[in-house]
Amino acid sequence: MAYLLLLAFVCCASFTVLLSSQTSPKRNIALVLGFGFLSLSLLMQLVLGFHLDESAAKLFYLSRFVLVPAWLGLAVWFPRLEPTRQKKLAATLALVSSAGLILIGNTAITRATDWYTPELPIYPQISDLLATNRPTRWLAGSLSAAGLAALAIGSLYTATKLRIWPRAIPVLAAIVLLALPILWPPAAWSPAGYMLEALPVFLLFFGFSWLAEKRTR
Amino acid sequence: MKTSVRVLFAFGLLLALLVSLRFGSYEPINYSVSNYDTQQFVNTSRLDFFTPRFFTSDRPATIAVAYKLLGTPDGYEITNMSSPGDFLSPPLASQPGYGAVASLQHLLSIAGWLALAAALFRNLRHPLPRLLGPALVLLFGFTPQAAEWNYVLMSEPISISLFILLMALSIEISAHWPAVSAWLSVGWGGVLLLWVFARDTNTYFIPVLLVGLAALWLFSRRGRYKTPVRAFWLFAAGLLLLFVVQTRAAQVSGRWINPFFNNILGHVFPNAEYLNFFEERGFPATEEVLALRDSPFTQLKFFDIPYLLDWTRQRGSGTYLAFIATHPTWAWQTFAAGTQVSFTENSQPFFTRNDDITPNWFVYLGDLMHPKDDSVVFVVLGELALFAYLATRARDPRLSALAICLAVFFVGEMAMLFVSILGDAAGTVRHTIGSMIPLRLSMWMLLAFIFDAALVRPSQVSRR
Repeated sequence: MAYLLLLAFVCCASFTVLLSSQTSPKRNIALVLGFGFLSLSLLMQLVLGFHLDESAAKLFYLSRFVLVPAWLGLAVWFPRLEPTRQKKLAATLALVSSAGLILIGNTAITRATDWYTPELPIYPQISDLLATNRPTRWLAGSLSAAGLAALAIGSLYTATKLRIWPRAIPVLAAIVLLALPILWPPAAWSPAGYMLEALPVFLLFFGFSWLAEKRTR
Repeated sequence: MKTSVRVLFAFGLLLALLVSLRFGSYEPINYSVSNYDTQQFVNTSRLDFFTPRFFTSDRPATIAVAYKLLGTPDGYEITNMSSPGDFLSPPLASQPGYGAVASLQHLLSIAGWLALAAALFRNLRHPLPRLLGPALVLLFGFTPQAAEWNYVLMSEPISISLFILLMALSIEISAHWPAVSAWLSVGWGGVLLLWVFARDTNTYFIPVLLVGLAALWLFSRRGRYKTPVRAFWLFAAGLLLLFVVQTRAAQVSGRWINPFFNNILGHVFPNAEYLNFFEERGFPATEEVLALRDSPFTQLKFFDIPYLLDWTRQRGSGTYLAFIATHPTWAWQTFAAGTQVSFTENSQPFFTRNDDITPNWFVYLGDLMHPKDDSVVFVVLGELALFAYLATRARDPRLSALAICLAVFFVGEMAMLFVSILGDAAGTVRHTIGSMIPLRLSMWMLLAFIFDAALVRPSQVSRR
């Protein structure tokens, strides 16, 4: 069912283009970047399913483990912030993301391509592949945790405040699905594993759309 | 519909890139590989076109017409034989006389995929799906899993290409329904005619098409535009006539007899109750016949038993149809199992790919776009349901007509799949490829339709 990864990538990239083409008042730059990084992580996963590419491994780690939760976490709060604060927070996160890019970009890849298996999921292999040092791990861990917490609290807060709490369910479900393969890396691909990769794309898109829909009324 | 220069430029660039990828990733288009059927096409092509025999010979007429028109004075000579069943899959080579037929197969295929891309570009409205749809369709059609079939000198390549062309024209017609130009209707009819005569199983798409046409007609009766009743009935009568003529030609030809014996070998002989059903209807289960019960498929010795052949010609197909009708559980289980088998392969097995020319990443992408997983059927069903919902919600007659068109194609593909699986117990993967490619294609193509329906409100579309 590897085709689900490609299907998810096509949809996620399309969602990114759609979100980025929205006009100024509705445009949420954090959301655009969050979906953009999610697309990038899916694309890199597809590349790594073909062969071991060092840049793809680093980009996958950076986007999937660090940038997706961080930017989506900001995205859920973004519409509730003043424009000046929006800019400040986005600029700060962009700086931290750049630091992450530099740190992970300079991380060495374990050159043992003979044990790397493209047919297996990247999650259990990435920790052996990337020799992450402490600053990298700390930055990645803290950004990821902060992003997921912001996403969970933000969606719940928004939904409760607007009395539409069931609409937060897709976002919360997506958080769980996004975290699952990181916390418990699957040893082999299974239909459930592929679903786990594809579903968050749709859940996040519909979750954010529903929350935004109510807000704009 | 206005098209911005930027979108048009992007579409042109996309076409140029993908067409150059198509030509640059494969061996010369006049190379080919033959199979046992190839010589039979040549034999049929030698018959007089204006005699019934041309349509009732061993092989379908459209392919024989291509061989007739493209034949050289020196004739055809098979020098590169393939037989996957005997583990014979040679590399591609140029075969005397066959270069033009192989080139036609490639050019028709490229034309079909480009026509489908153009139909999507013309009839989708939001810039994103207008580019996404053609990109997915062309990538799908140009990957080795689809493109390599065009090197094989059998009926599948031309049949698949004509079906893609038919799909493109049907989308164009549905998007303008019921205000369809006469030329478009004539072109559609011509392609349908060629396609129906390209493979016998294609005929079974016609009943589904008739139901779809009736649905479109009923639907358009409620709209602003009215379909002329006389034109509709004339068209329906034409389709019905085509169905009767081709099924009759296939029945007279005896092309179905070998598949029938395969079914007896694969389905009837292994089960005493099923054999009894056939015996009650006169099947001569003599010692001579039963001695062949453990034979491999395509057992030609059956043809040497005159009384068996006589019974088969007179009552064979009717008895088998009655067997299917009275054993629906068996038919469904066989269909389900056959569908799973059909999804086990996505590449042609007839020749060895040249890895120096075809990039590995293209094969990998092809494997992703042509999944070997029967869950595709459910994904397509889900996408169709979503598209139908969006079309109904939008109250846009154009979208509803497109939803009916795509649903007809899905049901038609399933009908052909059913006939292919139950029609011949042997060669399931090859026989079902004509349904498998469009089924897998639908999964990617429907994404563009769904995005388009979700993004464009009816108020944003100018009335045609």
